Amino acid sequence: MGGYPDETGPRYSGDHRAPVADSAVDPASLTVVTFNLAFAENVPEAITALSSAPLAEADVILMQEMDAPAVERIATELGMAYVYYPASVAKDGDDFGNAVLSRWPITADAKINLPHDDPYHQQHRIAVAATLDIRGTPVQVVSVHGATPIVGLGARLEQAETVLHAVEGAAPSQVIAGDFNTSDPGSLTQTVQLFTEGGFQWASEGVGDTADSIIGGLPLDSVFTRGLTPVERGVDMRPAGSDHHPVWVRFAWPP
Amino acid sequence: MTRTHAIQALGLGALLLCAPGCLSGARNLGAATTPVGTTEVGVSVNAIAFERGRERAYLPNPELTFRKGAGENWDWGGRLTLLGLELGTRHRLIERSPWTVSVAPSAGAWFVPVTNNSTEPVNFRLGAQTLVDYRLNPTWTLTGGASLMGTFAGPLTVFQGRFNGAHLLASPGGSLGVAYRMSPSLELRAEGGLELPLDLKDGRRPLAGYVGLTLRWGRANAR
Repeated sequence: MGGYPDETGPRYSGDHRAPVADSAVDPASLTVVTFNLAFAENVPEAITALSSAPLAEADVILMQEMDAPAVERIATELGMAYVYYPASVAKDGDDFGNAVLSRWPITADAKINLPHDDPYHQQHRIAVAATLDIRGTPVQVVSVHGATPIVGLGARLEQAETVLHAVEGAAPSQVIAGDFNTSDPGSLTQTVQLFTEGGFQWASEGVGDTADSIIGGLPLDSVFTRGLTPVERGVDMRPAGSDHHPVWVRFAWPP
Repeated sequence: MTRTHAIQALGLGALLLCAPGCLSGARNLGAATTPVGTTEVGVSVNAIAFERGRERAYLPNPELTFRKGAGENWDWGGRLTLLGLELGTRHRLIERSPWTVSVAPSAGAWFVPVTNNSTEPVNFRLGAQTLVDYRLNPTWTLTGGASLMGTFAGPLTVFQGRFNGAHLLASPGGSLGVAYRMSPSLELRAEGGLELPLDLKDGRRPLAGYVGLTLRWGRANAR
């Protein structure tokens, strides 16, 4: 399997928002969803889940383990703008990367290369940052996919720290969310501590397990924020085409 | 307890069962070599401290040990964990009552199921420990030790000839123990030690350490 360490690409983007988009009016809140779609193999099921409450209210969907056709299809079906960067090539030959989908205009984006490639699969991981223009207020969102526990907790913490350093001070309101692979004992606690020390709040605190596994539920996915106030959060446990369940957080707006 | 919690508890139990494969610097040895014709077996219960993410974690680490007298001034033996084996010899260099000084080279291989900054699944260790006994009386003996171990730690891909993510470490360490002779053939030893791993690529790693108890039983070979 190969990786895409080039910071500039490949890059895919599109804008499928309606000509008179929702962005013409001030939002009452800002809802962010993070969802690892497990190699993007069940896109129709994911679209069904993302099209019904509570996920249908999402202003932003941060996705992991995606390929370009799947992102394009979901953005088209949901009427959203998107930016997508592949990180590596999966075993099935498809690209494997992170996406940001938004009902609000994406004014800037960047790929953040994470250190510590998986030595077993030579798999490279990334984060994708996008700046949204919400009625004149910039909000930066970041879709993160950390390495599996096979690289160790220390390496995953360095990946999270890389994201924190890359987006430091980029916008007054920020959301960093994704699959941090915090499955092993103590890993979630240390990850949360790292973000807390970086000035972020654990916005998805208390949602519980976010993925299924042979040993039961695991709390792999998290949402962190700075400059926004979470008012409601949850995990949508309905089938959505993945071993992960979408995690959503509704933030108060204006910030 | 829900089914999910039960499964999680089982998973955690399995992790704890495997975790004693973690590298331990504990040798629980004195300087006095095992007499020729005698075999000693021991059971050790150590608690090891190691780097876990950016914090220190602690785990129990049971081991089986054995020594066999091979010559007037030397013996050989090893220690066995669930996922590792170390073998070595011990050579008595000085015997001047109440002091005994020995050196104990050893080599070992471990599988460590938890990966971390400089910790990888496949581990080979090679090094030596200098041991100094000071006998307080026929029952009590103090033991000090100084060691230098070299470790190769790599992912499982090393068996495919791929060494990405592998580490070389040098670990100077020290230990202090006290042994209580319960009977001519039975010894109880308490020992604690520290190692300061230096990753040749990434520099100094946090201190690792252990404390443990060993019950050792010696038996003369049948003739």
